[in-house]
Amino acid sequence: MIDILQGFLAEKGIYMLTFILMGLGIFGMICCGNYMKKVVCMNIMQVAIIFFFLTLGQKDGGTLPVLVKDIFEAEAYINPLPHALMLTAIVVSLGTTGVALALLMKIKEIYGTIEEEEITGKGWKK
Amino acid sequence: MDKVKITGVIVIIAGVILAGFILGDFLPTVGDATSSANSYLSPYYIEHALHDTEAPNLVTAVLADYRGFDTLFETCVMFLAGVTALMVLLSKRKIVKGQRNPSDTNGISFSGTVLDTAFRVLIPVILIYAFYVLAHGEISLGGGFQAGALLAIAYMIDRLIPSFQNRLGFFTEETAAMTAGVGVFIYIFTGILPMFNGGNFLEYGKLPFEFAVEAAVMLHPVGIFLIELGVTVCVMATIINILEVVLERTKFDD
Repeated sequence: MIDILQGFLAEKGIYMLTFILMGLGIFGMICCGNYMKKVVCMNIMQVAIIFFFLTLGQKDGGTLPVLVKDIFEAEAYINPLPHALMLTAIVVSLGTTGVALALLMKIKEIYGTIEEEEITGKGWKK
Repeated sequence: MDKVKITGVIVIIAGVILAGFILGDFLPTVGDATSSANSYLSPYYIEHALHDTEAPNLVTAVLADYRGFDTLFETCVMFLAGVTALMVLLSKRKIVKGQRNPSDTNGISFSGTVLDTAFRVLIPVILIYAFYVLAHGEISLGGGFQAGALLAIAYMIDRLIPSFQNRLGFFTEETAAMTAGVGVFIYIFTGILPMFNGGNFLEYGKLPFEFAVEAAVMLHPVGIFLIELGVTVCVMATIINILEVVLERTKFDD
C-alpha cells in the first residue's frame, strides 16, 4: 500500500498539487467578495497553469534546454516548448494584472469601494 | 453563507473528477521521455535548432525563430494591455501636467538610509545584468522578456525611492506607451526587412546584412537579437506605463 502511494506520488503527485492550486484559484475567484482578492486568485490560477505545463515538459535525466557541446540527443534535454509557451504566459499574466489593477482603480473611483456586496447594493453614485 | 458552501461543494466535486482523471491514467508520468508532449515536435526542435538558427538556447530558438509570429502577437498583447490601462485611467486630467515631484510620490514613502544605500549600489548591477541577459539571449539563458522586466525593475526602484530624485525618470505614462509602440515597431520592421531582399516576413536568412557574415544561417542571431530588442523595449515600457498610470491615481487616504 505504501509502495503504491509512493509510486503514485512520484509519478502523478505533482498533478494533484497543480489541480489543488487551480481549484483554490477558481474557488477564490468565485467566492471572494473583494475584487482585489479576485485578482490575487486569478494570479494563483495562472501560476497553477504554468506549473502544469512545465511538469509536462519534464524528462528524467534531462538538463536545461541550452545546447551543450557535442550532445544533440533529444533525450538529454528537457522539452523547450512548454518553457517557451509559459514564458509568454507569464508576460500575458502581467498584462492582465495591469489591466485588472487599472479597472479596480476606476471602480474605486466611481463606487468608492471595491467590495462586491457594497457595489451591487448601492448602484451608481451620482 | 450559502453561496460559499455551494461553490465549495462544486469545487470539491471537480477535484474528485480530476483525481479520477489522474488515477485513470489520463496524464503522462512525470519525467516520461516518450510521452506525447515530448515526442513529436520537440525532438525536432532539439536536434535541428543549432543547425537551423545558430541559437544554442532552445527556448529562444523556438520563441524568436520558429514561432516568431506568436511572439509578435504576444508583444502586441503586451502593448495593448499598457494602452488599455492608460485609456481606462486617462479620463481625469492631471492637475499639474508633466511635472514630477520626486519627494512626493503621492504619499508613497519608501525612503530611509538603508534602502537608499542598498539600492544605490544595486541599480547599476541590475542594469548591467539586464543588458547582459538581452545580448546573451540566444546563447545562454535569458531573452527579451526577462531583460525588459529587469530594466523596468531598475526604473521602478528609482521611481519609488524618493531620495533618488528620480534620476532615470523621463517617462510619463504617455511617453511610456509611445515607447512600447516603438518596441512593437522594431519587431515588425525586423520582420519586414527580409522582404526587401526577396524573403518572407520574419525570414531571418534573407536579412539584408549578408555582407557582414559568411553564411546565411549566421543572420539568424542578428534577427533574433533585433526582435528581442523590440520585445525588451515593449515589455519595459509597458511595465513602466502600468506603474506610472497606477501611481498617478494612488492616494492612500482611506
